[in-house]
Amino acid sequence: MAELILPQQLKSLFQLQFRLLQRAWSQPSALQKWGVVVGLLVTGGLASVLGWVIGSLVVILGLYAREGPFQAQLVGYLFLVLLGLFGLIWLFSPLLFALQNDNLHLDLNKLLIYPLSFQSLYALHTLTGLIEPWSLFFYPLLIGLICGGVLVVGSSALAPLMILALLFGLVHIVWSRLLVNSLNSFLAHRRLRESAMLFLLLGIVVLAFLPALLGQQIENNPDWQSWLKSPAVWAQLTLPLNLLLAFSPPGMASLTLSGVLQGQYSQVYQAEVGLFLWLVLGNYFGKTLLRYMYTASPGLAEQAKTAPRWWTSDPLFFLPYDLALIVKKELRSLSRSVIGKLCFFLTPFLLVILRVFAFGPVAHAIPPTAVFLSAITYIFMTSLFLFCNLFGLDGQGFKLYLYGSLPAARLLLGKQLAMALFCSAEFLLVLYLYLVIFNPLHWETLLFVVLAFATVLVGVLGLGTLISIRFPTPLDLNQTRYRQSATPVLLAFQMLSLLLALPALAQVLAHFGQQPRSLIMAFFLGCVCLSHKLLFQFCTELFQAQKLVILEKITQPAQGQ
Amino acid sequence: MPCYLPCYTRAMFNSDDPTSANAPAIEIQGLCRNFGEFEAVRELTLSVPQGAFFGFLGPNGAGKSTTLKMLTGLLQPDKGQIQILGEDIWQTPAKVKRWIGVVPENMSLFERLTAPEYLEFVAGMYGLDASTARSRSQELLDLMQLSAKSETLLADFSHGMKKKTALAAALIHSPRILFLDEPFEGVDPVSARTLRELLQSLTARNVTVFLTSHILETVEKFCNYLGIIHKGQLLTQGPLQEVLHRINGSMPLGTASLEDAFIRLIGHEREHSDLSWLS
Ligand SMILES: Nc1ncnc2c1ncn2[C@@H]1O[C@H](COP(=O)(O)OP(=O)(O)O)[C@@H](O)[C@H]1O
Ligand SMILES: [Mg+2]
Repeated sequence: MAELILPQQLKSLFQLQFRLLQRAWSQPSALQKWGVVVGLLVTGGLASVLGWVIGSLVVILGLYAREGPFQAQLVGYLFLVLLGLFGLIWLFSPLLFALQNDNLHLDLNKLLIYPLSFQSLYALHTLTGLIEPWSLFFYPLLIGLICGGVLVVGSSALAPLMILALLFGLVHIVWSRLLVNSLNSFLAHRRLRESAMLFLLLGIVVLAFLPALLGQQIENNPDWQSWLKSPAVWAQLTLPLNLLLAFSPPGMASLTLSGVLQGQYSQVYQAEVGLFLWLVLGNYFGKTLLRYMYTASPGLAEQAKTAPRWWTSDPLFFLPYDLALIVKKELRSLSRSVIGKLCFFLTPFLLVILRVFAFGPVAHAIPPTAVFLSAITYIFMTSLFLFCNLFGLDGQGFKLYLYGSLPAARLLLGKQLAMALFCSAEFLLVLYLYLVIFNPLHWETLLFVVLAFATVLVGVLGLGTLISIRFPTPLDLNQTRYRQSATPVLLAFQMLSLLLALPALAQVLAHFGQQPRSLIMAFFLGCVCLSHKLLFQFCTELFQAQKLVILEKITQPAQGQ
Repeated sequence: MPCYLPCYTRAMFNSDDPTSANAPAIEIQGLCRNFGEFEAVRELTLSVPQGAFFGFLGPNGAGKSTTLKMLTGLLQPDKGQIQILGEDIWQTPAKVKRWIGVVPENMSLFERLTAPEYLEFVAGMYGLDASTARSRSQELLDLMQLSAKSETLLADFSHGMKKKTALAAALIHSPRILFLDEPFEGVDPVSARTLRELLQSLTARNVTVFLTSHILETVEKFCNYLGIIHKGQLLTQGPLQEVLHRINGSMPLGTASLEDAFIRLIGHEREHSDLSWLS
């Protein structure tokens, strides 16, 4: 008796979840709400279309399977591939949302003090998976499956197919929860977790390029079709396919489906029992893991371990002490934030991809200046929010700057230097990679490119500082808050495109004026530096006037009462 | 005394009431907990009688919160037995958790709720019906002087107000034992006085209070039982006067305060420099 959840408790939990959703909904502006509504509608439409497609496929394949044993086997494999793909997406899509929004979810840590059995907590944790957005996407597919089966076989197929849909859905929810939780607890080490996230994102970028790569491979090997048709390839494929069919959840689901379509009910029940076993297994592991996560090693994820120092002397010895402190602090917080890492590695990564896809003569055909100007564009586009959000990462720590006797100019200079170092390091990495994987550079190109980079950097620094001071509300990319209004960033984008036009302008002027382009670029750099100096003074004064506003904006809790 | 007390009866979960009325409220045997290599709590053995106002005292990082988490079912012990009113909390957690009220270290509030909404949620979690929940939460908010803030989200409360809300939530189901982790940290003196009176009147009616603190005055003023923990080890425990007497030994009572006793027990390791640069 004591193990059961009371109706009162269930009601309270339901109310709580409802209130959290309601509060989250009342927070953003009407425009964002419309965005969400349109997004949901589009997703819903897409999911229904997919459901329709699956339903029709079941009908077509079901009819085809009746033509003979070979056709039936082929249809079995096709279902396996289809359901396997579909299951994999279902399983892994929660990983993309690994930054969980704790304002929307029932946090088990907070529920642990109440008289709920662990069984109920686990059930809550799992069943809320049924209403997560990515799960909603798959329901039309399951409905399509059921409808297709019923259309082919008749209403006798309804019961087994509904059981199949239920089991298949639950298996995926249970195992995807288990997957996310085990990743979370294996990756409890913060650095590991962030790096893994980075690799995941990069992996997705690579996946997006995979079809192009395959296409190229196929073009290079014109006889791939005859290779695929050779019987040896098929013989190699059938064994793993049969194993998958017999033991994996999508295999069992496709056995059930083809069993229903062909009226072999013993196969249906066998396969459904198998699916049920997968569910039980997932439940067992999931519960054990959850209990471990929440009661045996709580706070594991919070424990930040410091890395061993691998340098001993101070790398910034040439700077005044206070300036060096600020620069180091800024670089440290940048290197510890996911967004900082992502910004840092994105452009070098894209350069590598460019090299991978531009084979042989094509690679040499791209003029190096174009490569570098695009790299500069990418570097500043990706890190623009960091430039326009200089104080956002400080949070409560910003108070320290105000208590201390640090002059405003020092603080701003330190922050600018840190950003400059960050971007220059990224640019150096790009340069290095270019030299390694593309060609050697002509020194004139190098000079021009470096001057162009410096010009844009100095321009963006002044601009970003001004925006950071005028619009200090931090940009929080952690999904929980949409705080900074987009206006300042849009403004910054426009100014950035003006700055990025300068190198092109230099080229044009050089062409018509018969002057070396680096000379003109150096002239631009001088102008930008001069205006930065003036702007810097203005920023310092503005900062003095605005510093309390900044403090208030960056320390206030998320808006939206 | 606040008028609130008479209506505060132990009405719910009567069927689950602990079997032995004279079992100690909390009985701990050889409790251990490590974090990796680090021993946060070592071989803790402790007994708290029903109706005691127990102060668990120790410097920062001594292992107080770790112990309290193990007592309330939030952190699994590596070794050892915990009996709450004669029941093992790790065997029958759902049952035991009904008898206890907890203010955990981080308070565990749902910050996107208002105080009345939160209290009603907690009441529901303990199985109270809606009307009882509403009236009790109103009373508790009045007592904590938070009724004027009933529209504000907990996220926008000050630290002390959050503490008071968490305390109110721990009281709402009329628990037999209260576990409070640093309950008065950040609470203003007026509220602290009200709370102290409330807690003391509760102990007079056989409710046990287990309170951790690193502040000596709190413990000295509030508690009649005392345990001192340092680096995960229980140094001493027992009724307040007895402990004081034991530590201070021959010193005449009255001249030696708890602070002296505490410093004598713990502070002898001071080996740091005298920070002469702090002009
Ligand atoms: N989840 C954890 N992982 C590792 N160490 C921990 C964890 N929780 C607490 N500790 C360590 O255990 C010791 C005792 O902590 P705690 O019980 O919170 O102290 P306090 O007596 O101040 O409440 C501290 O040194 C703390 O660093
Ligand atoms: Mg503590």
